[in-house]
Amino acid sequence: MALRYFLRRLLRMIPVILGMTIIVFFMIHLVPGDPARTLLGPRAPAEAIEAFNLRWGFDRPLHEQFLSFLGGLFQGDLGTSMSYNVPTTELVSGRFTPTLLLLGISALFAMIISLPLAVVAALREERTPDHVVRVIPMVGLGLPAFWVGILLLTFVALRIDWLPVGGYGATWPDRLIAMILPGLTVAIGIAPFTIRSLRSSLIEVMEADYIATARAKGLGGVRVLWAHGLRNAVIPTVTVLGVNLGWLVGNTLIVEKVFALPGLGALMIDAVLERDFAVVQGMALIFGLLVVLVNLLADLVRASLDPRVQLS
Amino acid sequence: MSLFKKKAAIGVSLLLVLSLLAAACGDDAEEAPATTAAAAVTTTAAPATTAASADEEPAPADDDMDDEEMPDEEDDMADDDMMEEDADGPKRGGDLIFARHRDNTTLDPGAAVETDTIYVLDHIFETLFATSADGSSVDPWLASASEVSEDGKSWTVTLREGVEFSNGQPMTSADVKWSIQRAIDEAAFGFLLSAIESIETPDDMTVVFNTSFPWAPFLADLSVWAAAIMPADYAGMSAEKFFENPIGTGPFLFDEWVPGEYIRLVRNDNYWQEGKPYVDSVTWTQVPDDNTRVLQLEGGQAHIVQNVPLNVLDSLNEKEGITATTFPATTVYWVSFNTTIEPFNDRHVRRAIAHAIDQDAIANAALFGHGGPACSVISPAVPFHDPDTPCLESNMDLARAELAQSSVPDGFAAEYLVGDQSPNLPIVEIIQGQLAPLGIDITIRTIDPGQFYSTIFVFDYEIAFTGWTMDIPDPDQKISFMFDPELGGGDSYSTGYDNPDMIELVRAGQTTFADADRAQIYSDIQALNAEEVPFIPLVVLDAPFAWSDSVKGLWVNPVGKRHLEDVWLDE
Repeated sequence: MALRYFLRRLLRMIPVILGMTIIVFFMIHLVPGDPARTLLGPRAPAEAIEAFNLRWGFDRPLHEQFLSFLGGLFQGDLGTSMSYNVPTTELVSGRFTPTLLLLGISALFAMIISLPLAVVAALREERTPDHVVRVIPMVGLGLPAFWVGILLLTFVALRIDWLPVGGYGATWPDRLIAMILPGLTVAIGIAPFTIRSLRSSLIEVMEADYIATARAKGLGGVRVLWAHGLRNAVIPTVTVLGVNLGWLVGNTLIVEKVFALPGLGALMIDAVLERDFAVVQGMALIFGLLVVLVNLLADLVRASLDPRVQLS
Repeated sequence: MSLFKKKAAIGVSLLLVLSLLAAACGDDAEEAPATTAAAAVTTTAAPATTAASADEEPAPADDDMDDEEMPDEEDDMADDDMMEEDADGPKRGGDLIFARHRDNTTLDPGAAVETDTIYVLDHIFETLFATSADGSSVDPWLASASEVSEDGKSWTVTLREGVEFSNGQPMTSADVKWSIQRAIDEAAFGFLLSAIESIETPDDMTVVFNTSFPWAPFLADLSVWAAAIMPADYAGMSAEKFFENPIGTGPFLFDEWVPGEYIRLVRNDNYWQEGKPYVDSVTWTQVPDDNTRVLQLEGGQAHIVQNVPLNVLDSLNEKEGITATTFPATTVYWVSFNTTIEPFNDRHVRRAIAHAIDQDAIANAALFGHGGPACSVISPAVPFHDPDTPCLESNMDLARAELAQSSVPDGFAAEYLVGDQSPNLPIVEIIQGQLAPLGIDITIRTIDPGQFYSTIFVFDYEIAFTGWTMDIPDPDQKISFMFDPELGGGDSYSTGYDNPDMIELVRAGQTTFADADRAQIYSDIQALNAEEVPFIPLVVLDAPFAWSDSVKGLWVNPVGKRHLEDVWLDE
């Protein structure tokens, strides 16, 4: 059941991805800006510019370029980066892990921050703890991620020896440690959403009949909250997290830069500035896939948490 | 179900918008470079000289020799040792970490166009001639002497004895001939060597370059990174194989490159400068954010950082254990005009604007006192800069008088095109304010740096913010581009400025060999620009660096070369 559902969802991704491919291709090609000039500089003679355009096929009509891009795509070839002169797939695959790791850890941190705060707020509804929890995290929403990142680097990383001041690290333990502050930075940005969502659904859930039943059966407060309350309340929050992923990925671009993480974000920004077409196209495609996949994942998690959710 | 698709689509479009936004506002703040984006690319982004690092030891820097008086190798070394007398002299060992905003893009000097790539490759490959420490000349490097024929069309270059490639193979004239020919044929910057007609190799240690016309900047052109010397025929390998693990004569060997993260070089035990390099390895890490780089230096995670934001330089320098300063560089920014349209074809209009602009105010406000006001289009760190260039005085009365003589005595409205990149915008905003009293109403049009050159090259602008950074220590590289619409190949840097007197001077500069005569020619060029102002020089930019006190012997010359073989760590 779940597998069939999963496969069907994957199939439905194809038109989305294809449409995105077309938009990205024409967007990046139609934006003014000349990669030859950008890369070779103002002094490069006309012959050098011509040779460059010939080499990368920019002398051909746009629709032909698109068709050959599409042709390559079906063979798993995302083209070659003009700046690095290596296949985009090779360039991107190396950058994938840090970004995924950052996304994962951010989601984890967001939940770690949200759970206790939302529980406190929900159980003390309309009292001081609730007001505090509802207001303070909103500050996080207003703070730009790059600034939070710099603050954390300045006031935390510089003072704690075992935390690196940015960078990725060579071993897995190092890398996990290196993800703590960037993960926290992203989590601070997303926590306001998850806290609010979790709080309100928790309030709703705690008033449900089955909670009263559970209490009547004589279950303790903690058990009621954990097994019946949170398990049900967390479902909409997972959806919120999934839906906000587009925004979350946008945030990781900035956070990766601040923390010098060799992820997709830094690559993407450089590629757009340099009109490195193949890389921009390839990465937009990959980011798109990522968003679609994480949404799917959120649905699956939802289904596993809530037996009433039918995967159909 | 369709709900999910919609969500995905929203997510994706959000992402696209975000990434474009990120690109648009993305801080390009780090590129120190001249013009806008692309200058960073083409030319050498930044740096420096020994003067500023006088308290460190200016390595083999200060042999200000001319091309003719060859340095005696032995002396050179002795000199070095004497200078490194402080403490117990240079220590060997240690792993140097150099944090910068960009990563390498290639290991092939022929393909390299971007300065941060070039500065790393400089340590693997070397050239026959190299820019001196103060940027005033080119010194023999892998060469030991050079001589030009009477007619100025034939250069005989003697190679340095005892130079070996990192695989132990001695460097010979065959390698030089092959490397230079490869650069001419294949390198992105091979056009700098296009004067060469043929290359002869009378013996193993002698190379004769015949040029198709007398060409004064020749030795400087040989110092360009694209003219790096490699073993002939890639030492028998395919090009691809060779650049996976390149072989050069430089102080370091390629070790490891993780794109987006770091590139590491290790000591070349075969290096021809006895005893160097001092450190075991150099790792260039990519740290794109300006503030993070500085924090890494403070946290001891990096030894040297570049492109330090100018506004934090002074406060950083006051911190214990850190030196933060600038090295003189060759970058000059200027106002350039589209002289093919009214009213900018009127020199009175350009002169009025020049009188109205206060360079000191710009240098103080936008560069935080680092770098300085520019008067000449040639930076003080470039040969033939004339400090006595008769620039137009900053004076509003003179500006009004000049404008009164023009076709638009009551002022006009104009659009000022600027690449959206630091520190361009603040400078342009200051100029906007300075021109307002003249009745010149400036609208600022910011543009994505990637679009800047394609816009000015088709003359789709009125006034533009441009500049130049040098790759080689000879002014011709930019002067011909700026003032010779035809041979320079760029419509006088897209100004359309076409002055027969100027063109004659530019061409004389290329074919005159005696330094005194060339100096006079370039003085005349600088003076003529000051009078006609197709370009109004604004500021000279220096290259900001910061390093930990454990780093000794760092020096950066004006074209940005960092001879890290001279650096040692006192940890």
